[in-house]
Amino acid sequence: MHAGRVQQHPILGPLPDVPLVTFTFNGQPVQGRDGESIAAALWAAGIRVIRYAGRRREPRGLYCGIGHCYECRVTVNGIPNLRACMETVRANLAVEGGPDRGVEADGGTTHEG
Amino acid sequence: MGGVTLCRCELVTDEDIKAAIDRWNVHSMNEVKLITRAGKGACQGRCCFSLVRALVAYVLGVDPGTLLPPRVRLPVRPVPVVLFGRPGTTTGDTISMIAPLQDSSRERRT
Amino acid sequence: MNSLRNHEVVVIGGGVMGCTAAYFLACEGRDVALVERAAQVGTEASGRNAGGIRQNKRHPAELPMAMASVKLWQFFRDELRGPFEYEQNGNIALATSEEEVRALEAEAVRLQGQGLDVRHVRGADLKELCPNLSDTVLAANYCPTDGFANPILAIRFIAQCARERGVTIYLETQVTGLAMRGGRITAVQTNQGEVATEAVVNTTGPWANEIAAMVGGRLPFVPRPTQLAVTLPMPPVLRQWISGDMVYVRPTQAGNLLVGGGGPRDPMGFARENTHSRIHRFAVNGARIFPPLKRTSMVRAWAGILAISPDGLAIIDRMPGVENMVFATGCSGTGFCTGPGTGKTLAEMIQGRVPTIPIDGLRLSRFPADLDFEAAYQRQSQPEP
Repeated sequence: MHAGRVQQHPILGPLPDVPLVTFTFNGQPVQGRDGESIAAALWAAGIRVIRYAGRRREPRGLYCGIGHCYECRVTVNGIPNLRACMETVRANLAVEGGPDRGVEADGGTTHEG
Repeated sequence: MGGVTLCRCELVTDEDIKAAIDRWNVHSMNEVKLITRAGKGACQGRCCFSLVRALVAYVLGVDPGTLLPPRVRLPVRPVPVVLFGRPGTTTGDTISMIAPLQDSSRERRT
Repeated sequence: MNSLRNHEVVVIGGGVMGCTAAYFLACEGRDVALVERAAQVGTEASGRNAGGIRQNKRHPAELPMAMASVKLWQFFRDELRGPFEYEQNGNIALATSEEEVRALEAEAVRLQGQGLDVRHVRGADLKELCPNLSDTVLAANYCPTDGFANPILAIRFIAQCARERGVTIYLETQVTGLAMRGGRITAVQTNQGEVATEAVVNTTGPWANEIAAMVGGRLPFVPRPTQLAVTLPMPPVLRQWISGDMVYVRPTQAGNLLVGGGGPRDPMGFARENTHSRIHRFAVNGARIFPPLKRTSMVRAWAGILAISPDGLAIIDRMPGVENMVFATGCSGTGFCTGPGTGKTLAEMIQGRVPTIPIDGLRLSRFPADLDFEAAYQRQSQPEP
């Protein structure tokens, strides 16, 4: 569960004690530290794929990590397209990857001014 | 759809952009965006703009600095539809997208 | 960039009406110039709208134009193999109150009487047609041959067809004056030089009075901005164009939903701004008639300028006092659909023929000559909250 976490940082010091909470990702339980980003909790749990993009169902996950790219977008408690790297973990959150366009969408153009 | 993906949000590759420039006689970044969808996705071109501009400048044989960015519009970041018209909000309220889940969690606890 | 020369016909304004008028004139062998002041055709309303190609809900005077235009859109798509994503998945006009249901029933009978395939649908049939409509929808009128296209690609495609037929398109060329002698225009003056010509078509939409003023005329319409918004892509939840509760929603090939809707009392003008209150209405009303909208986000909004006529119908006619000028304006937000029919009509008028498509209720003469529509519109307009 702590796989990938930095337990002792040369400058920041030891990882502080923070309660662990359980939330779900695509229906599966995941443990995270209360208050860390959803993306960090998923990463620490070994989950790299957050959603599948487009017709070719390309696996996508954390990319910029700073709230810029929306690659990590998730639906949390029914609110869609939130950035996992910006939203914080709380107990009992229901997190799902995406939403994404369906497999039928061939990347056709829309039009905007 | 072969080639290297430049716009991750809308899955636009360099081949798509070159084909569009060729087919529609494109000469501006706004035209590239309108026709190929590059820059129309969730990040609204934040990630792909400099890549796409470099490619377009190369294809057109112009200095990238001469290619102006496409227009920026509201909203600044994607706003979930459910955040409009929530109890306790009225039109004209700022909807903060920094941590909308935090706000929504707070609301549910009251 | 072409340098100016003289042409038999000058079409002013490179939107859908201008590009199609130029195309049809060139098809008859005329030497046509299309003059557009922006750097590309279709940069205004013709390229900013939601792409609706609709016969449903049409006023009787405009239904023939809409039906003829659908045929022409099919021609551009099928005969000329136009890649502008024109899909005819249907248009569904919704009723959310008993009063609206009764109005729809009467409207269906009227439209059917004019030869349109439109069906009044409710209950299980409506559910099968459009499974994700909200329970607030009581009934609907459904026109299966209606649909939508990508206007950005459509205009550019038609312009390419026009060029291939010999039309000379002058971009970044703004008309600054019209030289007249004896009630005829002899030349079009622009910021790039002068074009001697035999006939002029004014298809500048909400800017039509800038051109009309050059021949001492004024047309009864007002410019009015309208807004649209688009969502992030989602799995397919909608096939048709739906409208009701002051909004419309339609799907795109990329998986986004477009949401729009105007306000009859919106202030006139040329300011292409987006407002929180209008995007708010799109979200709230849109989700009310179509709940799957709640599963996505609004990512972007934009606006375009409409030409609103006193009765909401297009104005297509010869310019009073000018022997060799025709115009079309006042399409009041439905001009993309009727563009090809209007362009063809203008071409026929230039050629001295009676229009094939009936425009009896669309002539300028239906308005009193001293109508000050701008003042009347100003009095009833209300700024947004």
